[in-house]
Amino acid sequence: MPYYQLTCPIIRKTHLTSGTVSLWFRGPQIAHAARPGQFVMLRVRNEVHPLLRRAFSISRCNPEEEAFEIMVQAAGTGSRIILEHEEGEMLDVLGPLGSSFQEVEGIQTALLVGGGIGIAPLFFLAQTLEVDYHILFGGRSHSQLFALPEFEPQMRFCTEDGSLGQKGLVTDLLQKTLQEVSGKAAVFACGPNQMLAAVAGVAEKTGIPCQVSMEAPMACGVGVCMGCPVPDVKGGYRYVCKDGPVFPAEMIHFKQLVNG
Amino acid sequence: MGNRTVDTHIQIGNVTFHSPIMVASGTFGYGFEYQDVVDVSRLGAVITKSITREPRAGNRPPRIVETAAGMLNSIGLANIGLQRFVEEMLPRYENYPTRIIVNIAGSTPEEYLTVLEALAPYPQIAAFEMNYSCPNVKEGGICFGVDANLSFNLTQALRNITSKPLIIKLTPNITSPVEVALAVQEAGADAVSMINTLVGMAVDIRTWKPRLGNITGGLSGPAIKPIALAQIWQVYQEVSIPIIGMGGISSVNDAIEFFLVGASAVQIGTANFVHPPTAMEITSGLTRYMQEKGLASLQDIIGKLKVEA
Ligand SMILES: Cc1cc2nc3c(=O)[nH]c(=O)nc-3n(C[C@H](O)[C@H](O)[C@H](O)COP(=O)(O)OP(=O)(O)OC[C@H]3O[C@@H](n4cnc5c(N)ncnc54)[C@H](O)[C@@H]3O)c2cc1C
Ligand SMILES: Cc1cc2nc3c(=O)[nH]c(=O)nc-3n(C[C@H](O)[C@H](O)[C@H](O)COP(=O)(O)O)c2cc1C
Repeated sequence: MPYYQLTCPIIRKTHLTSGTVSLWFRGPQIAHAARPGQFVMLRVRNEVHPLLRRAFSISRCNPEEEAFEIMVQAAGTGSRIILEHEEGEMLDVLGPLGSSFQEVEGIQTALLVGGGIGIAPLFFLAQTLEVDYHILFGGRSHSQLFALPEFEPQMRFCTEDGSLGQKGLVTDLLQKTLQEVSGKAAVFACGPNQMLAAVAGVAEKTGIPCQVSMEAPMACGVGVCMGCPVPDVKGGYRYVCKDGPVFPAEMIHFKQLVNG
Repeated sequence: MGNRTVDTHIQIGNVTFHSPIMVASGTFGYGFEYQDVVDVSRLGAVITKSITREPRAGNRPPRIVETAAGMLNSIGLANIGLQRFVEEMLPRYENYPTRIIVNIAGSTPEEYLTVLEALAPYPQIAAFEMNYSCPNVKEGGICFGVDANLSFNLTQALRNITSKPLIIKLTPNITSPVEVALAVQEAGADAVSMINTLVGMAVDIRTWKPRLGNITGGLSGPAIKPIALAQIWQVYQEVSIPIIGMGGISSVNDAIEFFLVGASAVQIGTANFVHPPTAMEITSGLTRYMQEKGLASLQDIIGKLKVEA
């Protein structure tokens, strides 16, 4: 699949939580080509520091506006600089990159499981799904979570401190939701490695297909630097940027991933 | 100044390159990954990822850490290995829009020789670059490129295999690169390239753990440019074969500094990750600079650093 390097204006900026913003960019080729699960690499600024591009999942697309959205959480230096940009400012974007979520034949329900900012690519997936779905959104406390009006009826929340939705981990909410859905289901998950490992475990136990979207530090984003390996079950490595970020859960060696 | 044509070609061994701007090993894959956003025909050459006799999975993650104006990597020479390279890449190089230089690495002298022997006959390969920054497992893990005798012997053996340009990529992790540069020149190398990454480290003060799975890694990017310039200048004053310079180049001004201290060509590495068209833009920028300065050929800049006697 081709990708592009575009200088894209920010056409809309909204605050999702105190530390997370939604940025909509106009970028025709990227907006038309992007598939749910894919990401972009953003140049922080035209300086030698911070040097490397930062990866962000595409969180929604709007083909009429030829626009795509990313959700940026303040993590360190680069993300903080990016989220301070205002409407009208331009950023250098490389994308769309990587693999996408694959359609699962014969399912009635899709369960979209997001931990923290890992929720971002699941909104784009929800935009394109033709089956019923639930979005399960987990975090430490309510201050990390947010809803988007167009998906709110399908969203369920859980927090570790119980400040919003069910108290506990998102795997608890997943298990509870699984009991309620009838017919065949599939899980699509994105979030921290620990969470993905737990979600993949639940899916395996219940015999449900599961796809995970993963993160790893990366320099290039296009399969050149070999900097972003995750261990696979065959004893080798898969690269998040070009083999992923979306993988069938059964391909990943989660024990090795989580325990190092 | 008018539109005078400028001559940017360079000669390395028996091969001519239309431009002295190349892309560095390990930062441009096998030459295809950036073709959506880079017109590779504008580049003087593409240097492949290091190829080893056997495929290599690479080091344990994390392999990448960003540092001040640079990055550390501990990739561990992850590559597809000689056999897959021959089967999958060589056919695709037959119509490749620019010259391909294959970079070879090994952990014994025999590994370098085997890979070179296998690849030397293919006409789609213009030249070879030898990565001497690898530990020699037969000599207690000492890096080939820090020992002048080892470097001389290996280069001589490689020279016997091919008449194609043989570029020896020196290691910068050494007190002075001059002795090894002279040794490989004497052994028949056509050029040296420098610098490879510098050994470095980063520490996570939350966990007290190293940030790289391999503990140490190689530093690259703008942070290393002053070191690269100094090492090239040192070598330029002593050797007569061409030097291909690299280390933190991200603009045409950076590249011109390298020519002035004695590089005949330059490679762009880490900057490809940041801005893939960097090498293309430097190619245009170099022509413009030469036109503005009224320089007819690269020979008018190479090594022309002005120093008081
Ligand atoms: C495929 C992919 C999709 C992502 N999608 C999103 C998203 O939609 N929204 C969002 O807020 N974040 C996302 N991230 C994480 C985001 O890239 C990091 O939060 C960001 O790089 C941190 O940069 P920083 O400068 O703020 O932090 P720093 O700590 O200053 O970063 C230093 C270096 O580490 C790297 N790094 C740090 N954390 C991560 C991480 N979690 N993953 C990969 N590299 C990291 C940075 O890229 C940078 O090179 C994604 C990462 C990947 C790999
Ligand atoms: C991710 C990465 C991988 C590299 N892999 C190789 C390699 O396989 N063989 C090699 O000779 N040099 C390798 N290098 C070194 C570069 O070719 C170059 O010498 C070095 O990065 C300095 O140039 P730069 O600062 O422009 O990147 C690698 C560098 C990076 C950043």
